[in-house]
Amino acid sequence: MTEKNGRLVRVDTMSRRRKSIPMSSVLGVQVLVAVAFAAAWLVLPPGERQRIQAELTATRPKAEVKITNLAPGAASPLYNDPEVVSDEDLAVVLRAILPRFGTKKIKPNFVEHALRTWGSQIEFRNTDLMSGPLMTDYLLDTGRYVASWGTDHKPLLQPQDDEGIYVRWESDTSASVHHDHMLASLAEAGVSLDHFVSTPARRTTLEEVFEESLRDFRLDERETEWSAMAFTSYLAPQRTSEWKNSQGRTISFDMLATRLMRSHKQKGVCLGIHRVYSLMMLVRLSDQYGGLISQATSSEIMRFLADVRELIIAAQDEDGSWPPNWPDGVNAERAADEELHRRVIATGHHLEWLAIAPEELQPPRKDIIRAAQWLVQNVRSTSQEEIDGKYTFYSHVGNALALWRQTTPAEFWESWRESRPEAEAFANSPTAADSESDH
Amino acid sequence: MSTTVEPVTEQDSEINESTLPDARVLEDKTPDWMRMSASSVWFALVLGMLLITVFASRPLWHTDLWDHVNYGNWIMRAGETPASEPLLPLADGVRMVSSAWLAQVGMASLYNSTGFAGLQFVYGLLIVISLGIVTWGGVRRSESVLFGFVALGSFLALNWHQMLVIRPQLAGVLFYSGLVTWLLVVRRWYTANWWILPSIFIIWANSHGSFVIGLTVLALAAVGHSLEVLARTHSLSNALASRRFIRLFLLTQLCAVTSLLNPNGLEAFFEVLRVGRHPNIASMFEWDALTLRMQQGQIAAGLGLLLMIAVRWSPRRMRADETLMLIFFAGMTLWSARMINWVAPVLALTLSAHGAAAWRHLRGSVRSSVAAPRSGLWTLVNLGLCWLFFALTNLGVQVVHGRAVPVERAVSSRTPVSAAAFLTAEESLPEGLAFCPADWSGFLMKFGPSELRPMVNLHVHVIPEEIWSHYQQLSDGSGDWTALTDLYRINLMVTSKRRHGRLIRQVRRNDDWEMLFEDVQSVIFRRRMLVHELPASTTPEE
Repeated sequence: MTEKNGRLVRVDTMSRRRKSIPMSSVLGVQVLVAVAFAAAWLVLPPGERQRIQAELTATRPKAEVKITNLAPGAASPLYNDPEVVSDEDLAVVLRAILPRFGTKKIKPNFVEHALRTWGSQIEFRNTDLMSGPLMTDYLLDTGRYVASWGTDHKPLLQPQDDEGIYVRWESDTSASVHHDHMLASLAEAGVSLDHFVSTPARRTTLEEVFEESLRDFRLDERETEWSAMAFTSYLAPQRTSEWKNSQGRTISFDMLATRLMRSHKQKGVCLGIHRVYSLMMLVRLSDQYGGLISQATSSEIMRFLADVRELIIAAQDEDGSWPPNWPDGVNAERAADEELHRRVIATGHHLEWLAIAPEELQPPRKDIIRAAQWLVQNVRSTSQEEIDGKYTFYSHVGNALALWRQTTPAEFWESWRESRPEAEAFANSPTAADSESDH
Repeated sequence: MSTTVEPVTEQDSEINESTLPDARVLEDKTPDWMRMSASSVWFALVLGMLLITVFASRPLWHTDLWDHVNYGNWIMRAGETPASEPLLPLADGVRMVSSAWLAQVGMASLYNSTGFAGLQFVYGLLIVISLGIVTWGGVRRSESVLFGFVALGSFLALNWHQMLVIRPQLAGVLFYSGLVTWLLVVRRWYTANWWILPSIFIIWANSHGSFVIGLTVLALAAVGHSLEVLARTHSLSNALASRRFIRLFLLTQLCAVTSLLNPNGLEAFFEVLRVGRHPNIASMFEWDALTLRMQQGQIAAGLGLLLMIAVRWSPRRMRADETLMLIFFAGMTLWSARMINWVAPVLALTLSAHGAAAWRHLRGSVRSSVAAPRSGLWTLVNLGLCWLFFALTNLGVQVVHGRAVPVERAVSSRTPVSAAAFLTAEESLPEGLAFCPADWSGFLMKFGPSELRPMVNLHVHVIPEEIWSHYQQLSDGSGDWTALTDLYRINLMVTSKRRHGRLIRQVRRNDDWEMLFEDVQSVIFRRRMLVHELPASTTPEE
C-alpha cells in the first residue's frame, strides 16, 4: 500500500516486477549479439576479414593469393633462322653488350637489363664483367648495393613496417627506373622466388618482394608492362588467374590484358612495344600452362597483335629499321630531329616480341631479316662507348637476335667463347657511372 | 405470403423520440486512435501543398538517381547484388558493397512500372512523411500547433539542400526521423518495440548505410538517459540499472544484430566508414565540412542561434539525450555537410519544445491542460485531403487520367535529354570509352545507346583513384587532355557547356576531333581517326 492524493492505494508489485527486465534476458541478448557477430565474421570471405583487420589496425592488407610456385615460367623462342642473324654477327652484338659496369655507382637499371639478357647463371672469364649470380646479388643484397653506392643513397630494397619488401623505383640513377622492372628482369633471368633477399632490416626471400608487388599493384598506374610480365612469369605455372590487391580489388590476367591494350599503341614504355611483348608473353604462357586468360581475351590480344603486325609492315623503313612512330603505319615519316637510338629501341624491341610470336603474327621473313641486318649494321658502326652509354636499348638488340637463333645470349656466348679466349678481353673497362641512358 | 402494416399512432411516435438518440448529432464511432484534431487539417494542408507544389512535381534531379536506377536494374537482372562494380569498365574488379541495394531495386522497379511520375511521387512522399513525423513530434512535445510549424519549418530549412536530390538516403532520413521522434517525444515503451525496431533496421540496413546513424542515435539515447539518472542519483549503479537505459541498450544491440541481415553482412558496417574516407570523396563538394560560406551552413548557424536563445529563456530542462544527439551530429557536420541530415530532426524537435516553453515563459502564459478535441470527422477530412493531393500529383494525374508527365518536365533542366536522344539516334558509336560528365553518366547509360561506356559515374567510391583523378583533369581541360584521351582510348566526348568550357575550346581547336552535336547544354565530339583504327596499312596512293 502507498499513499496517493491522501488516499492509500494498492500498488501492484507483481505488475512492476513483471516490467523489470530479467537478467536472463539481458544475458540472452548478449549471447545472441556475440553469436550473431561471430557468425557474421566467420561467413565473411577470408580476404574481407583480412581487410577489416587491416583497417582496424591501420595496416595494409596483404594480397589475397597463395604462392605455391617458385620458379618462373618462360616463353621459349620459336625460330632458329641463321638468315636473320649469323653466328658471327650475333657474337659481335653480344660482345658489345657484355656487362662491363665497373664497381662504383652501378645503375640498377643497367644491371636489370643485363640480368634479363644474360640470365642469372652466366659466369664470365673476364672478372671485370658482372656475372649472373653477382648481378642477382647486387639487386637482392643490400650489402652489395651499398658497397657500390655508399650510404648516401636510399637502399634499393625497402622493407615495409607492415611486411613486404618494396623496390625503390623512380627517375634516379641509383634506383630501379620502372615499377616492377626489377622483378620482371629477375623472372626473365630465371631467379626463383626462394632466392635470398637481404634488406637493411631483415633477411628474407624474393617471395616477399613478389607478394609486395601483388599487394601494391594498381591496375591504373602509369606503367603496368613490367608488373604484368612478372605476374605472368611467376603465377602462370601455378595457374593463378586472379588475386586481390591491398585495396581489395580483384586483378585478373584478363583485366591486365585489357589494361595493356587500352591505350593508343604509341603509349607505353619504349615506344609502346613493351606492352606488346608483355601481351605476347601472356598468350604464350597461358597456352603453355592453361587457364590464365579467357578465350575471348586471348582472341582479343591476337587481334591487337595482328594490328601491330600490320602497322609495322607498313611502317618499316627501306633500310629495314622500324621508326619510333611505328603506330602511324604507312604515315610514319622520319622526323627531321629524330634520334637514331630511338630506331634501335623500336627495331630491337619489335624483333624481341616477334621471336616468341607464332607464325600467324609474323611479318614476311624478309622484313625480319632486313630489320635484324639493320641492327647488326648499327651495332658494328656504333662505338663501344656509345653502346655502353645506351646499354639498356642495345641489350634488347642482343637478346632479340639471340632469340631469333632459338637460344639465349648466355647459352650462345658460352659456346662461342669456347674456342675464342680473347672473346671477353677489352682494352678498357668503362664504369656504369659514365653511361647516360636510363630508359 | 402477405404482410400487414399497422398505422403509427401519435403515442408511439412520442415513445420513439424519447428513447432514440438525437438524430442531429451523429455518433462518432471512429476508434480513439484514429481520431484527429482540427489542427491536424492545417498540417495536412501544408504538407499536402508541399507535396504537390514542391516535391512531387519537382523535376527529378539528375545526379545520383539514374546511377541507382541502373544498379537496381542490374541487381534485378542478375538476381543478386554485385560483388564488384558491374557497370563501368574502368572499375572492373573493384569490390562493391551494395548498402542501398533494396532502395536501388525499389527505384528501378518504380521507374519500370510507373515511369518518372512514380519516382517523383515516392520522392515527395518520403520527404513529406519525414516532415510529418517530425511535425507531429513537434506538436506533441511543445503542445503547440504554432511550434509544430516551427519544427516543420526548421527541419525543412535545415535539410532543404539534402532533400533536393532523390537518392536512397531519403529512406534513411525517413527511418531516422521516426526513430528520433520516438526517442525524444514518445518515450513510452511498448512491448512491440522489441520486434518493430529490429524489423525496421532490417529494411534500413538494406536500403542505406545510414542505419549506422540509427544505431548511433539509439546508443546516444541510452547513454543520455543513464547520464540523467547519474546526475539525479549520483549513483553509477542506478544509472546502469535504469530500466530505460537497459531497454535502449538491448534494443541497440538487437537492431545491430538484425542489421547484419543484408547481403554483405558485417561488411555493411565497415563500408559506411570506407565510403566516407575514400580519397575520391574529397573532391565531392557536398561532402565538404559545413561552413558559413554555404547556404545550409548559414541556415544551420541561424537555427543554432535561435535554439540557444530558446534554451536560454526556456524553463524546460535540456535533456541529456537531446543534448548528446545535438552535440554529436552537429560535430559530425564539421566533417561533412551531409551529416546535417541527422542534426535536422533533433534540432527541429528541440527548438519546437524549448521555443514553445520560452514563448510561454516570456508571455507569462500557461499551456492549456485541455487536450484539443479529436473526432473521426477530421480523420475523414484528412483522408479526403490525402486523396485530393495524390490526385493532383503527376502520378495521380497519370493514374486517374492516364496522362504521363513528359520527360522535359519530369527531369531537371540539367539532365542531358537531347544529348541522350542524339546518341540513341546514331547508327553506331565509336568503340572505346566515352568521356561524359560523371553526373550525366547514369542518365546517358539509362536513356542513351546500350553500347555507351562512360569513363566514370557518380559512385566515386568504387572508381579507382587514378581514374577519378584523370577524369577531373580531363574535365578541367588540362594541357594533357589529348594524352589522357589516348591513354583511355576515349573516342567520344560528351561535354557540358556549363562545366567544360575550357575543354570544349581545346577540343574544337584540335583537328583530330570533330563535333557531332551541339545544343545549349552540351557538345558531343568524336575522334576522327579512332585510337584503334589502323592508319591505312596500305600505301598512300591506294
